[in-house]
Amino acid sequence: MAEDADRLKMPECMRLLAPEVVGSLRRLEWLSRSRKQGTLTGRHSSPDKGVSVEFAEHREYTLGDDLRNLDWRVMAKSDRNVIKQYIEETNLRATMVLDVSGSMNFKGEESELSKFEYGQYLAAALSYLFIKQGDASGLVTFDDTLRTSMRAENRPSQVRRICEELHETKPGKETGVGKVLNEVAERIPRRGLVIIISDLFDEPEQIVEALHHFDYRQHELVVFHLLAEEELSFPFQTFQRFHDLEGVEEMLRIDPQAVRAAYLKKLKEFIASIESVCGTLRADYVPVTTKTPVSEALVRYLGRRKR
Amino acid sequence: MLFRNPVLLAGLVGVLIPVILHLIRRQAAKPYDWGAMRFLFDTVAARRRRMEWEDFLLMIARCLLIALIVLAVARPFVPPNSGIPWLFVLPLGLFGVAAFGGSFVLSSVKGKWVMRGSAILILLAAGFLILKEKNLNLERYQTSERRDVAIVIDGSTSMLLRKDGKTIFERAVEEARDFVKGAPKGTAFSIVLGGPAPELKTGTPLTHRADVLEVLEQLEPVGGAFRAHDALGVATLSLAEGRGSSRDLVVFTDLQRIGWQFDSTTSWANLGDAWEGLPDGAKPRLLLRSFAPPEKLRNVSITGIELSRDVVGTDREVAIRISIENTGTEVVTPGLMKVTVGENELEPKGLGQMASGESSVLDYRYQFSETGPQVIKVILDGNDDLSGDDIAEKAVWVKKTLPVLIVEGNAGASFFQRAGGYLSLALAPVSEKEETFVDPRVIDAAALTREEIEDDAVIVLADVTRLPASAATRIADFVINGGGLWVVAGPKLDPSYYNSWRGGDGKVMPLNLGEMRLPEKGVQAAPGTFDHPALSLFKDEVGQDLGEAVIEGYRKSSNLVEGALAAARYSDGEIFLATRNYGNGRVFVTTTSLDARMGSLPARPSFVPFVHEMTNWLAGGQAVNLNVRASWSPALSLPGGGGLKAEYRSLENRGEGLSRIDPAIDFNWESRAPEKGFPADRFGVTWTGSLIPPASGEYVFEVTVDDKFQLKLDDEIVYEGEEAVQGRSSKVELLAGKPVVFSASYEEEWGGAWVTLSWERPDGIKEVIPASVFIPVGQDESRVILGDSSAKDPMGDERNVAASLGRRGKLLEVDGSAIPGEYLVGIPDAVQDLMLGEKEVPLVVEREGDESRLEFWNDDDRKLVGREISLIEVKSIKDILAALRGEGFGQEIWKILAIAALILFFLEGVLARWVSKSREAGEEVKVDFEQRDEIPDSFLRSAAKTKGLKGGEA
Repeated sequence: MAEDADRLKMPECMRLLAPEVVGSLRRLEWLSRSRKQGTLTGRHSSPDKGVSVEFAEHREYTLGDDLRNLDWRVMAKSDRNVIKQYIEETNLRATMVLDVSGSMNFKGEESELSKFEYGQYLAAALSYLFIKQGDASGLVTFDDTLRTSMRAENRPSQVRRICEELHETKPGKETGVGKVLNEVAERIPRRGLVIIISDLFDEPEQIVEALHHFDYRQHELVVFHLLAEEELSFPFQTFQRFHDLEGVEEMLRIDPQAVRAAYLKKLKEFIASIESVCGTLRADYVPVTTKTPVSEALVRYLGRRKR
Repeated sequence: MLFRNPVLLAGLVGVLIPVILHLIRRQAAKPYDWGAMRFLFDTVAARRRRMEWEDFLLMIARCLLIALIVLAVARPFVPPNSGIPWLFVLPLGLFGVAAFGGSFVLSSVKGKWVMRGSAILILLAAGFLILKEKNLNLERYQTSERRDVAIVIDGSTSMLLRKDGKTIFERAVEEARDFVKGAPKGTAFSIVLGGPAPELKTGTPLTHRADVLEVLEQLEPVGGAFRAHDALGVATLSLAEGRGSSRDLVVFTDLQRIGWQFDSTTSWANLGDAWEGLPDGAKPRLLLRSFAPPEKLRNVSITGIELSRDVVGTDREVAIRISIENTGTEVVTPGLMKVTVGENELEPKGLGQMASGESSVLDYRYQFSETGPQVIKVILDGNDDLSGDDIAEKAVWVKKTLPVLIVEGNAGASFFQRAGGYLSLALAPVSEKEETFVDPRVIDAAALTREEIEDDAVIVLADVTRLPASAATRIADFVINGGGLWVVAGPKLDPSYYNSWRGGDGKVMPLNLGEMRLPEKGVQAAPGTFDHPALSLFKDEVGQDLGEAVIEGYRKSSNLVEGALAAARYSDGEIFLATRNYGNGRVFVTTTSLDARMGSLPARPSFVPFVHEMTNWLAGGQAVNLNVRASWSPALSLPGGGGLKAEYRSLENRGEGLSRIDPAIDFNWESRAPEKGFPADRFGVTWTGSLIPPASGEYVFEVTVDDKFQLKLDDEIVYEGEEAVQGRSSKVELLAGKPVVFSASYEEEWGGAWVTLSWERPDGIKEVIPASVFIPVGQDESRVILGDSSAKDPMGDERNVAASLGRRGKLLEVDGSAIPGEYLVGIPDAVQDLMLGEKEVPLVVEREGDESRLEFWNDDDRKLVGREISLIEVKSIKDILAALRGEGFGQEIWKILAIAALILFFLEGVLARWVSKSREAGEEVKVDFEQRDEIPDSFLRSAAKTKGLKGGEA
């Protein structure tokens, strides 16, 4: 099998696909819930490549088109060279949108992984999941701008490519999640599955606007909202010099006790607003803390999804 | 504001604790890379200002709390007469601390440093003020290695008050011992026991503590009043002897007012000068350990013993009146009163209940059976708190005889025209052979010389025209020395002579006599006008007939001199009897002759008691007063003061010289020797002493002499003459009362010898210079010792006695302080004749009645004392010791600080709570994030199985 071969070689990038993750994903599958066009047939990929049963439209032949796709019948009747086009039948094109901005670099003490690393593992696991069931998976990373963009493909080697890509990616500095997400939504072909893995630290309005943009582009949206345990509980007792990972604001020396409640309230509000917008967009909102093992988080989510 | 434990102020560093904690918390802040910065900033931005304020207040509260606790522990106090008000310094310091602490939580860098800088300046200022105060204080309470302390312990009667089983005196001594034990090394003590006269118990200041303690151990209360002013004087003298550079007077007293002489600002100013003038210039401080006066006092006291007559014989009864007063604040019922006269005990008498302030008198009538000095002793079972004043003594000299010299001015006339005869008969109406108390002796006026006057108690001049000059001077001196003079102004008397008769105490007569008046129907004595103790018998008593006698002639009189008394008047208002005190003696003038010429007075039955009463009164001045007021040392005034020290020597150096006191320079030895066994010729005399001029002005000295005479005043020759029968000096200017050193020398060659020194006074009077203006001591000496003996004091201790002649006349002085009570004084041989040959006489030092009336210091008194010396009232030995070490004491204010700290403690708690509440620090805000939904078991199981399989493969 492909992964066995990969394991034998053990390229460094493949650390992102830990065996236990792969193990726990083996029996699982991603079921798309959006059947907007009624053409999706599950996870089975078509045996004949590039050819589909369902005709979509004709278009003028241009130089370089495969002659096999010429509609001879039309040529015979009207002496026009047209090409038959079919609706692509590949079931799922999933694009993982991973936030690699500075704030994702936060690790905290409760977990072994930073949000970024967690996102890497999560993205790798998801891509494996999709490829395994024959779906296409792509990767977009961004900080304040779009960093990399891999089209979704369903080649088995896509897993490795994605892993390589993830492995190469280093977290950046700036973030402007909302703005960049708009760009991402524009880039990804319509009606795909978009999985956003991010802490979404930006103005809630911006985020909301970006999510709406995805919806407008008819993407099925899954938001893995990644937060560290510390960010959620603010457990600090003593003075801390909070250093902005995104480098926007200066350092802040503060008595955490004094601001804890207010901070948590703000955070709660933020989370609630994200969750509510996901609800209205019928997007899946998956809150994940980095404390939860990637496999468990995935298993839980997929379990929930299956129902 | 000063601190008792200034070292503990180091604890103020503790103010840094909250600051450092704060800084550590801040500095220890680990840099923390944080993602969710956005939310933090939002939170902080809205609250930064408020949080800063809250932190600021909390920090201030914590710093102040620590500062207050440290300050309280350092025991701040406000020294007396603090120069810098603590209500300024303390808030200043606290403000500084608050600003300092608060500056650390400010976020504005500029504000932080401005505040910190000004806080430090303020703290420095507060510190400086405290140091300044300390310096002021040190100046006031300068301390040094060696110090002298004079301990004065009040030994007065009021110190015998009992409180909780101990007298105040015992307490005072106890505290004094503690004080001595606790005093720093190098302290020299002198101890003064205060009583009516202060007694220095230590010769020189003692440094050996055991010695001091021993002296203290032996102190016994003296009784009487505490003459604090004098005691301070003695203590000051003892301080002057010490070598220490700092001095303190420590007085243990109950603050009774009597004896401090608060009404005399000058005597306090004098004390102040004495303190100012101590060597090395270190002015002592007065540390007053006062024992609180009792609020309630049960006390009765004997306030006096009086006899109805001054001169007491064995002839008649005398009334002994004993006055008792309740001087306390409570009702007391005293027990029985016991009276003993000499050996005889009188019937005890009881008193009823006495309210506060009430006084009563008990009368005893008693006829003395023995002559000589004796003591009446009264002991009252007072049943009260203060027993020291329930006892009183009075010494009485019971006379055997009362010699009276009657000078008859009308000797040639018949008996009925002689006042002297009547008087003599009235005084001793029995046969001359029988002994009577009054012993009259009649002489003819023509025979009157100065030598005639000897041991008489009273001289009666019965219608004497005029007196020889030497006799006039002698009689005036006799009165000054306590004799009685009775002038019967009959028709033969020369009024102009008597009106100008002057002696050492001025005009002798109490009034100016005028012409005889012979009213047609005569006049009577008017008993209603009688105003004299000696006439009290005749005032209203039924049966007396003094007022019924018809007086046919009298001398008009005028110009009563100051102090004289018109004792009785006639029915027409003219003066009948006039009296005055002259020197120590008494003068009595009758303006009518007491014989048949001028009326029927001598025929009246009341005449005899009248003459006796008057004679007794006149003799009263001469009696040696055996009852003396408590003063420096007990002393009896003896009759016969004045005179000059005379040195007799032979000019041929044969035999020994002779030294005696001559009353005046007025001798006519003719060809006799001045004293037996001394040559009659070729001798010389030097008289030395001081002359105290009675009036200011120009004096001329007149000398009648055979042979040589030289007079020096203040070492300047005023007169020098040889063989001059009579010579006058030039005018000499003298000031009244200012002593002049007097020295006169006389030399007799051969033949007749006489010398008389007279003067012409500024008022024109010529007289032999009387003994009363001389004192036989020069400028440098204070007295001449005439003899000595010993006495037993009330405690039974032996004391020295000295008879002396000095400025105060002849004195019999007992050494040591005047402890009230009865003394038995041995009489030196030299003055035994003045004491009627007695070898021992009792002497009573009176107890002061005012001592029983407890009156204590008031604020004015404190002010008065405070003007002269730095007065420090202390409540305990600790305070005295602290003062001695120059440590502070005064009003402690640590309690205020402790209370403030407590309040601040609660305030800080409240503040902290409020802050935490406002920051919702305790509030548990739960953020629901990762929903842990129920996931079907089958699903989880299948996932787990796969995992397990995978694990198996691995």
